[in-house]
Amino acid sequence: MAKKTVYYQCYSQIDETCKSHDGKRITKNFYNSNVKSFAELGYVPICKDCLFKMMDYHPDRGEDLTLNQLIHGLSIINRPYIENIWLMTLNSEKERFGTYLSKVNLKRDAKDQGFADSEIEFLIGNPDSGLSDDELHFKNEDYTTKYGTEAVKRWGTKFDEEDFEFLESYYQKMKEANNIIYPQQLSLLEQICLTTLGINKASARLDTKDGVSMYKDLNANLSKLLTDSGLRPIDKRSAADMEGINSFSQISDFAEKNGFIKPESPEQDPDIYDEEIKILENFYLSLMNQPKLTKPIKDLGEKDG
Amino acid sequence: MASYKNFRRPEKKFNSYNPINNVKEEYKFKTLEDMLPVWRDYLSYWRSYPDKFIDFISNENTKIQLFGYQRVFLRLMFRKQYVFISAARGISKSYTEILGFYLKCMFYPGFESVITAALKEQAAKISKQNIQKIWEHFPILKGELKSWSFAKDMTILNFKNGSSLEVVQIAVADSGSRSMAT
Repeated sequence: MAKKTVYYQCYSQIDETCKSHDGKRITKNFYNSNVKSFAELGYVPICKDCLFKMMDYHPDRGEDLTLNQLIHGLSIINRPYIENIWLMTLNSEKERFGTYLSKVNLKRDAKDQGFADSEIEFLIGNPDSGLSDDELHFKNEDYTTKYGTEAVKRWGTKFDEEDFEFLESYYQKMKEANNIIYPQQLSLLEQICLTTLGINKASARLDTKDGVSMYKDLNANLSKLLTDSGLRPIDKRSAADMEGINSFSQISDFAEKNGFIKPESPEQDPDIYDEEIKILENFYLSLMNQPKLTKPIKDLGEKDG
Repeated sequence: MASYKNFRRPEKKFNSYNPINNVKEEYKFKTLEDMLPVWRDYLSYWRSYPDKFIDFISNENTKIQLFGYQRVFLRLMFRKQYVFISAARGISKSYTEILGFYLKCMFYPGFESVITAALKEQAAKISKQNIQKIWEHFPILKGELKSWSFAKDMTILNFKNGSSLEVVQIAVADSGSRSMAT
């Protein structure tokens, strides 16, 4: 049976060939991507032709990729710059950009990294990079001072300030409102924030057919993510059915995970039975000629007068 | 003169301004994690006063009430390392002892307790009878178990928090399944 042809949508449509197909290109015209921002799609939503045009790189004319073009391309598709891989790529006879990306994807650590994780120290002072030192540092440092390193690691520096602020504030609000403890919930929350941002942007394009379909798709996706993560308000569970806990023994197990629970001292508020225990102890100690414990408050062993 | 003002019942009206309603809302969605400090306080109290836990789960339909000496017995079992009881026949020694172990297994996760008798069958019979009585008197306690098994010469209770209560014979034949006094 013939294999079904799968088409992807290019959102850029700068190149003439891409434009003539209304951006609908077959899968081999796109680069795969595992980066968070494109994880839902599984590929970069810009076709190779449009990407090369954006980079001003023409491999069909026999041009070689320069460092400047590489950095520009990587910043668009949010992949990291790694010095070793670039040096290895220079020796390759194949098309350099594709070779570089395939080598990055093979590297386990770099597989999910974005442009923010690039080895910037190799580019500083390198005139071939085409970027000034200020340009390389500015965005990263600006976001880091404002939102902290954790936020920059989480979202990278590819978003403009308004989007970054929305993502981070929404993430923090969701984290505070829901009791998120599991790492899988945290990663789902990141995807929820990104999808919500996408919905906000798609809602501005509801007058177009593409905008409407994108809005619908993203909403369905958001609903699925919220269901999976259990972060819908309707999923908020009460104490009785939290994680299926329905017995005192499970509660004691759960409560003691935060440290040993010391039994309460009976000295604080002794009742008649505590007094009795103390009298018994004193009696047995006297049999062994040992000193007595503190005298009970209500001396039940002696008669008044 | 009758007027709407005289028939108003502010405590019956549920709105955001009503403090009664606010209290209800506050407790409506409390998860176990929110209630954890309260549960820790309760567990700390019950680990020293297990008889109070029995009062906590009892209501007007509960068939029994603990005697004073049973309360002393239970408290001693929780507070002291070694407890020696010598009492007359039919004074519910075994019942109170098994109830104490049962509660200890509940409140201490991973607690392993052992009941011994001269003959294994005798120990198994005593424990079976008493455990069934405990379930009859406090049905809520049956829900604490993950699995249980009563056989001719064996009784094992496995709790949901990893604790266990079993019967061991004091004999050379049972030397493979040993237990340690702690």
